[in-house]
Amino acid sequence: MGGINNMEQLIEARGISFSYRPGKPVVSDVDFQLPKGCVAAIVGPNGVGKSTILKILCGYLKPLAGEVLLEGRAIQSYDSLSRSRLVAAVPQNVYAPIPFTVEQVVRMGRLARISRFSRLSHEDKDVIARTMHDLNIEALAGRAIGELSGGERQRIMIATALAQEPDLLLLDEPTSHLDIGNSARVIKSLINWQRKKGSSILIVTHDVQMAARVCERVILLKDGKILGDGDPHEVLTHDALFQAYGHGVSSFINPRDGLPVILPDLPDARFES
Amino acid sequence: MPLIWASLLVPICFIIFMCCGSYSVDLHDLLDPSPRLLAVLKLRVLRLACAFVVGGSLAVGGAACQAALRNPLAEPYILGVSGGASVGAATAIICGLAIISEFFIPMFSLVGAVTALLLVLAISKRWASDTPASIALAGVVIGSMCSSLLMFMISMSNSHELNGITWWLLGCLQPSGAFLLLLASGSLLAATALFTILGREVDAVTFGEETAFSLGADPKKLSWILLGVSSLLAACSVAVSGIIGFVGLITPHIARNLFGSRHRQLFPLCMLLGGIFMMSCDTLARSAFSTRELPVGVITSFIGGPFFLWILSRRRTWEG
Repeated sequence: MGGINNMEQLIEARGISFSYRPGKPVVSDVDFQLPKGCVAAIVGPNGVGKSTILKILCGYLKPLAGEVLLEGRAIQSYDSLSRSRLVAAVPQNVYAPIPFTVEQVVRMGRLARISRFSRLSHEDKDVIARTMHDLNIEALAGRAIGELSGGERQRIMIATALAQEPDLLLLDEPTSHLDIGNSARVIKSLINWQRKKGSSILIVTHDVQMAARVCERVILLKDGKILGDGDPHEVLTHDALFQAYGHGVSSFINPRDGLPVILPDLPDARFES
Repeated sequence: MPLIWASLLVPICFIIFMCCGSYSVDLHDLLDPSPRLLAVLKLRVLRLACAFVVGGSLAVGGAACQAALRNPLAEPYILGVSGGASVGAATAIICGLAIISEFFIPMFSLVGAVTALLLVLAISKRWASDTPASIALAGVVIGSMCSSLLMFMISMSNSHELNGITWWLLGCLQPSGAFLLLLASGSLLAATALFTILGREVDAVTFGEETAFSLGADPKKLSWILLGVSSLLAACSVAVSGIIGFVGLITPHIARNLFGSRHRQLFPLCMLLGGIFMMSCDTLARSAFSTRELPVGVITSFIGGPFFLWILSRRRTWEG
C-alpha cells in the first residue's frame, strides 16, 4: 500500500455518514481511499452498513455528511454516463420481472458506451462474448433470465458489470448464491479480469476466508465505523474478529500453501443431547 | 423485421375491417363507392382510426408501466387514471352537461384522470423509499376510492343518466370529434417515439434502480417519464373512448412472447399490435350481431380475463 500518493487514488471517501432514519446512523464518519489496481474487501457483521457504503461509493446514495471523490472529483458531479464508464456496482438484489435473454442482459453493460441511436460495434460484441466466456455463461445465452437460479443470475449480473469495463467494480456479496465450485470460478475470473485490466475491485462479503485469500486489503466494519483497515492478516486477527462479530474463530496455517485459514467456531452439536 | 411485418399488417387489417360490419362492402365497391357507401365508410374509417389510437395508446402505456413499476401485471389503469376518468365522466353525465355538448364527457374524464394521477403521484412521493410499490399502492387506493365514489353517484342517479354512465363505462369507439382523436394520435406518436429513443435505458430500469443506476441510466427520472407519459396516454384514450380494459396488459405480453423484450422494438410493436388488436375487437363487436352492437369492452375483457390468469401462472417461472 505504501508509496502511493494521493493523486493515484481512484476513489476516496471523506468522512461519509449516512442514516435511513434520523438518529439511527448506519455509517458514521468513514474515511478510506482505494488506489488503482487494488482488490479490497469490506467485511463485518450483518447490518453494519457494508452495503450502504457500497451504494454511497457508486454515487447511488448521497451521504448525509462527507463526500466521495472519484479520480479526485466529487462523484455527484459526474453525469451518469461518464460515471458508469468508471464505476460499476452489482447490488445484492436484482429484479428480473421482464424475460430478457441472458445475452440481452449482458449487452446492457454497454449502455454507457454506445449512443442512443447507434448499434453495438464489433468491439462491444467482442467484450460481451469475452465476458460471457470468462464467467462461463455462454451456454445460457438464449435463456430467459427469470428461468435461471439465483446463482446463475448472480453470474450474469457480474458479467454485465464486467462488460461495462469499469475502473472500479463494486460487488455486494457476489458469491452469496454460488456453490463452492462456481464461487471459486467467479473469484478466479474476477481476479484474472482485474489483472488484465488493472481495475480496482471492492467486494462486500461475509466470506472472511475468501477476503483473506484473494484481497490485498480488508476493511473490517463494526457499527458503521472502521475497526481495522489494511493487510488481511493484520486486520483479521482473533481479537478483532471476536470484537466485530462477538463470536470466536479459529485460524491455522494451511499446510498446503502456508496461508492462514479462518473458520468460525461452531458448536459441536453431534455430541449434545 | 417484425416491425416491418406489423406495419404492413396495419393497412391490410384496416381495409379488411372497413368492409366488415352490418352493412357489408365488397372490395371492388371500394374502388367506385356510392354516396351512401361513402357515408358508411367515413364512419368506419373514423372508428377504426379511433380503435387503432386507443389500442396503441393503452398498449404502449402498458409496456411503459410494466417496465417502470417492474411488474408484469401493471397497466396504465393501475395508476388510478381510469377511476378518476370515470368519476369525471359520470359527473358530466349527472350534471346534465353531456346533453348540452358531447364534448363535456371527454373533457371531464380527462380532468378526472389527470386529477387522479396527480393525487397518486403526490401520495407516493411521501414514501420515497420504494417508488414502484408506493405508486402502485397509491394507484390502487385512489382507484378504489374513485370506484366507490362512482357507485355512490350511480346509486343516486336516475335511470336515464344511469344508461349514459353505463354505456360510457363499457367503452365506445365511435369518436365524438376529430379534435380529440387528433390530440390522442399526436400524443401516441410522440410518446412512442420518445419511449423508443429511451428504449435501452428502459431495459436497464426493469432490473431495479440500483442496477439501472450502475449501468448509466437515471432510474428516477426515467420512471417518472414513463409513468407520467403513459398515464397521459391513458387519459387521452379514456377521454376518446371510455374505459376499455386489458389491452394495456395483454399486448405487451404478446409482443414480448413473439418478438422479445427489448424496449427499443417493444414500444413501436406495442403501438402497432395494440392498434390491430383493438381494431379486430371493435370489428368483432360491431359485426357479431347484425342488428345490435356490443360494447368493445365486452370483447377485450372477455379475451383479457383468461389471459390474465395465464400471466399469473407464468409470473412464477419468471421469478425463478
